[in-house]
Amino acid sequence: MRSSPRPGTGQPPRRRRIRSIAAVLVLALTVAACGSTSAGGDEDRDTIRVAVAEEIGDLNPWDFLGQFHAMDLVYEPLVAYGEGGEPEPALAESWETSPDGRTVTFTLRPGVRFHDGTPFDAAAAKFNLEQWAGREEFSFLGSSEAISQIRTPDQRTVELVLSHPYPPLLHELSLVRPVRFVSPASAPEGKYTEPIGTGPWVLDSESDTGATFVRNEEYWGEKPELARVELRVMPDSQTRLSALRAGEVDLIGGGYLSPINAVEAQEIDSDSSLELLSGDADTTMSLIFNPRGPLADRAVREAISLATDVESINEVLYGGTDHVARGLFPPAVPHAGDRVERDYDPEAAAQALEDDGWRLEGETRAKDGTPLELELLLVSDPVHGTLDARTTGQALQDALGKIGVKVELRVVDGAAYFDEQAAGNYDLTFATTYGAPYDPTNTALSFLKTGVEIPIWTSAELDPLVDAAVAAQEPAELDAAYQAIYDELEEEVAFVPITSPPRYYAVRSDVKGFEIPPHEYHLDLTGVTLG
Amino acid sequence: MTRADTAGQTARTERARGVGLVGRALIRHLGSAVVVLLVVTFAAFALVRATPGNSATSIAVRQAGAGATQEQIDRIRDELHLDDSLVVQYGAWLSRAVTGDLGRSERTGRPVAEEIADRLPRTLFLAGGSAVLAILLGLGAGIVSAVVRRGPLPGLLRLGALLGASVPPFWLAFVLIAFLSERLHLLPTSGQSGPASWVMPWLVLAVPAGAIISRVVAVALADALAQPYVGAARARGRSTWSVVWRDALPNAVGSTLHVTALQVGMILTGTVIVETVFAWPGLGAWFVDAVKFRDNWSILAAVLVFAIGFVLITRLADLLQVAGDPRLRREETP
Repeated sequence: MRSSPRPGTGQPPRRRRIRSIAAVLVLALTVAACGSTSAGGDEDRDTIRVAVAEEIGDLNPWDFLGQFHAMDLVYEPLVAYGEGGEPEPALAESWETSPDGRTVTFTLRPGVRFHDGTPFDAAAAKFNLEQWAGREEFSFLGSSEAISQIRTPDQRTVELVLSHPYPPLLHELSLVRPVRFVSPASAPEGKYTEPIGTGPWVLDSESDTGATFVRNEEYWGEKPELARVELRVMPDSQTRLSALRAGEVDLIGGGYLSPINAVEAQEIDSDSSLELLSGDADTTMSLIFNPRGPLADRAVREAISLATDVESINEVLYGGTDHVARGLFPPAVPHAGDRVERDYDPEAAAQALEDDGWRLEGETRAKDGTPLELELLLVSDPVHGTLDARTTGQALQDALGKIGVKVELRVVDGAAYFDEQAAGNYDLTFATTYGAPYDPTNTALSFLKTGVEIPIWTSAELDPLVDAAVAAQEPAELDAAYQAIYDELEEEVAFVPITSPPRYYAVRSDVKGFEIPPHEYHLDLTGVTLG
Repeated sequence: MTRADTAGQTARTERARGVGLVGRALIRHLGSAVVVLLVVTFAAFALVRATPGNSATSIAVRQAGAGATQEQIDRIRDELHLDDSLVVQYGAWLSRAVTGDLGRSERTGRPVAEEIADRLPRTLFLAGGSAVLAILLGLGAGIVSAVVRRGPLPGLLRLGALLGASVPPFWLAFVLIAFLSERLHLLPTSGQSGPASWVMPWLVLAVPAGAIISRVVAVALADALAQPYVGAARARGRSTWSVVWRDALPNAVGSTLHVTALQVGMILTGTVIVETVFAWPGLGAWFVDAVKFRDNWSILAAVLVFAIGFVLITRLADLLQVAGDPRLRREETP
């Protein structure tokens, strides 16, 4: 039974009310949608909008909480990291190392002031250096342990006296923290309060959705073209790419800023409204061995190396064979050494195992009753700047299965990964070198010396070679010393280099003048213009 | 005394008795809620501790990268009292938590209570908007499914509900972003820049919840519409919609309250994914970061807040059901 409409109204009042509510909702959505289109357009072409993966955090240079790229906008080092790792003048105009290598004298740039007007002089420099040099929490920096005295003979001169010669000093002084300079006035008695640096950008406002920086009008160097930098926090990489496509941000990329993976890079490359920029690789991801059990056996390591189809892995997973790694470091890292062509020959791999006494028993080989079973440890959420190796792990499992090596994959999350590696709970895993500006020194010291937490490879033969390389001073001497390390690693088949990923950035096509910085902690927007 | 007076008096006493009952139920619920919260937070704490990886390592790796030494990690472990027993640590947290001190985030260095004060309102706004939308969607689709019996509409709504309930939220999010933001430029991809930026996060959370609510409403309402009193009302000449609104729906709603409450609870926990995708700086995204870092006190606080939300919503549904259904009140009277 249906009721007939009431005379005069055409429909019951209730229904009319629902209709009007619906109409209001639709209207609200439309208005909202229109509002956003105008907001998404070009409102202010004096501001570059950059997507960042994380909020900038506390920019205290002597703590470990803030994001490097934000610190890099505000704070400057004595020495900058130039192309290929050449130290360049920054807050120090020039420097000189004494013949015995134990005194380094810096001449400071005249007329530099912090954002609050405080002059950057020898006293300000000394105050900053004292906050980290010789302090225990910074002992991971060789410089912190090497610096024994800080002298300031005059307002423009700082002398660092070292307890022993430490050639990587200049490199370490170009890092982001703790070595950069904050206004002493903003850190009374060493208690940091505000991010007041000398850099080209001044922090204007910040929140957990982003941060805004304005141009430092008093900057001593080349002033930025644009007036403002806006960092927008977008934790999800797909969202960042969508935002770039939709024109909500102008720049994404960088290993730490807002990483782009190889698949996303191909997507960007095929989009005409976007421009993909790729810089020389500065890291290498390698397959590494825990030399216990079967992997103590060089023949097994060699077989794994021969059975790993590095070309195909790069072709399919990492954006092309150009990225195949041919050494511990990619060529852009100083003293990276000779390139090594690696054979892919699964038959030779099987033969090597056969010759060494590993006989097939069913699917898996065994020797003296020990089956050739290995555990490959993988991380589910790799830290920024490193690759997701899970698919590579599967490819490897498959390839090694064919030569009779059984590989079990074990995936843990980032927080557990370090502990598992440090405890040696793996046979195979992947390791990534530090990259610029740390390398080659830091990878050598942190991954190749007996006693380190997470070795790539350590041995009694390798230790003196590492010590010699870190102590070497002259370029020729350095090249030879590092080459000796690479030769020793190669001799032992100590690892299998897999890929050296290019450093990807992407901009909208109206962004001009952006250049890939020499390392991933640096965000140089000085020459950038829009439109 | 007229008959009307007697009826009024009965209604008043019933209401008064109802209020007393609601009060008593409130106290009883409060007691069990506290027990639930204690169990949930302790379980969360134990789980975090049982999981490999810990905040000391996270902190050391952040300081020194892969070159962090055991010495550094041990020093931080010591500072954080990570080697105390589980019960001692939980007890210490609890005794501070009851005074409102939720500790300091090991990841960001800020007090946890401050972070929550910043982020909870945003999450409530997200979850609240989604819940309202889900209930509107669910009620609307459910009523139409139950009332309209002919034509393709009921079948389409059933199919839609099935799809809506099974689609993974992150997938729905990316499809919406690709279509509405990248292609049509209608809505911003992410962030919190005004009403336009609320539409997609609300929808993504509301669609699965609304889909499930719609089916429950449809079934309950269809049951109610099959009752004799509906036939009687129609026989008196009342319109279908009037019967649905005034008689059938109030009777059907009681039995859907629990499912609705559960769905609203799911919306609250669904913020974990949606906030990350839409760069919505709320508690959900913060919780994800905290877990990655093994940021003990932040994890615990977020679990506590989510648990309180869940308990509140489900208990509120209980109370609403008791308050709204005179039969339940009568049954509870000794």
